[in-house]
Amino acid sequence: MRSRLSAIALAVAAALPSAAGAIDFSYSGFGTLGYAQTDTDLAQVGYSGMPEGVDEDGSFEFDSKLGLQVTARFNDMFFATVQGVAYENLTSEWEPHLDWAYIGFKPVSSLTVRGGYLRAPMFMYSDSVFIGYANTWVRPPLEVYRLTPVYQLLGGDVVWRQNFGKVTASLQAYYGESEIDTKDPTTGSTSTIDVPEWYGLVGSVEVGSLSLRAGYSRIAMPDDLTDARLQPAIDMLNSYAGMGCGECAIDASRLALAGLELDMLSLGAQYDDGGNVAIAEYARRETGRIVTNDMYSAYFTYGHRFGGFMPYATYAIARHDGYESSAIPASSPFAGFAAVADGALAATPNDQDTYSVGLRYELSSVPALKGAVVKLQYDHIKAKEGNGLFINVQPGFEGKTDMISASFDFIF
Amino acid sequence: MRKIIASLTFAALALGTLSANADIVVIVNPKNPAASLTADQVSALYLGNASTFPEGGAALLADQPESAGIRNDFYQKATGRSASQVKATWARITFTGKGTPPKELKSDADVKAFVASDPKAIGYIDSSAVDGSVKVALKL
Repeated sequence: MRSRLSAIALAVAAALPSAAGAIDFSYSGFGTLGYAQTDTDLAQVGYSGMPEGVDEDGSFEFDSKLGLQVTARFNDMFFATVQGVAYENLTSEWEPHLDWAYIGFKPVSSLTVRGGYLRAPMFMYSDSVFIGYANTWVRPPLEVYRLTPVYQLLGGDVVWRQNFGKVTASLQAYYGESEIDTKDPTTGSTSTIDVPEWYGLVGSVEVGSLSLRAGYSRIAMPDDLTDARLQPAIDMLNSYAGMGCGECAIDASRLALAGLELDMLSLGAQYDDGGNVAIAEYARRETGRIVTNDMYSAYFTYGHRFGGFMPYATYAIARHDGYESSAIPASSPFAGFAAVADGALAATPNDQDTYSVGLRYELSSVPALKGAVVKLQYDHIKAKEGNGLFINVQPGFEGKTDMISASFDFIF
Repeated sequence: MRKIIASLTFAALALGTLSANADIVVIVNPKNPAASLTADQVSALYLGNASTFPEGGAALLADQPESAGIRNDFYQKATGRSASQVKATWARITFTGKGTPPKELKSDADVKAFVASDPKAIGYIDSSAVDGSVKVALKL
């Protein structure tokens, strides 16, 4: 990661002198001071893999962010942008990250080519998920936005955007690789998972108050990815496979993480006529595996502006899809092993419903800030089956919690 | 009493008419090849959906200060959205690297001077402030 960064820094530095004197620098920033708290200490709300999420002790780290951006415009065609953001990532540490660092090239007004560190637009708000000021909720619905742990692309994208009178159409294709920082909650040791390939395509159409979008993305995980908790079961099933149990091999491969590929499909719609705001998004994850299983999520949000106030409500769901039991048929001579497979496969039905209501209030003028909003949100999160999307679940958890959140979001 | 109410009503009506009559004009540099712009074209530029004039030249956008009433009136008339909605749109565009927001200037006079000095510039001012240094591309 560091060596790649310095390569980008060198490339930026090399590009600088050629345009020295005429470079137009612009600085801007955004931030969120957020607080969230639930009513249980037996489970937490968070992203999959986080050692620590939100529980009844409350968290300032979960939603809080501070971002700074510098853009250098060398001429009408070339520009470079660096954006650093401090936030809590999957290691549950609130710390600064280099989120965007790229060089851009605009050969014609409708086309932009960028290379470097980017946030890929996997879902409707993936690339602007941290810009709380621009978003309706305290945080985008987790049902959709936690479907993938991968967010930062090291690679390139091509953005085509064209206006035709009342209609604006855009297409964005991206290709590259990624990394995921993780932390073992028991040992506290951190490690990095390399994501060797990630690509996708997004198309959108905007007509007046309505915008529609569709996206597809494929993420390939490394061939040597393992999960220590599942390895004994996988090894056992593979040894049965060696004895002639073909279905045991199928069960073993479903449990394995090695070579995992995530196919992500998302459909989104947004309507904003100044008074009414409606947002709907559907996202589907296909892996053919048990851990990081096939599932789909969706949400619908409606809000109405009354001057600077906007009350809003959201209903979000997550549903699993696909296998839950062993592939070994009862008629198989190896039927006795199905119990081993089922034990491991009875993994994680992650069905969940969330009902949210909130209030977004636009502050009219705050000194030193370009814009600021205050949001209050209440979520009722209920696991439909198993533990839903809750993390770090303790015995005795009843599968539901109420969460309150407050945030102050600003741009400067 | 009835007379007072009647004259108050009249005054209110007159005020309403007056403020509705305060035309906003979109101005460009006299060297800009466009003879005029449509409301859709201006809306596309100020919502970040287009970055060039219809003839293909890059556009440099000027904005009025947030405290000025003309800003909200302009966005309502040109884009059908409020100034604060448009600000959130530009925040999203800015921090995903898809554009640069309009340059905020202090007054009609500053916007006019900015547009007069740059062939790529576009801005909006009260129609009463127009003079020969700029070209009116659209009346809102």
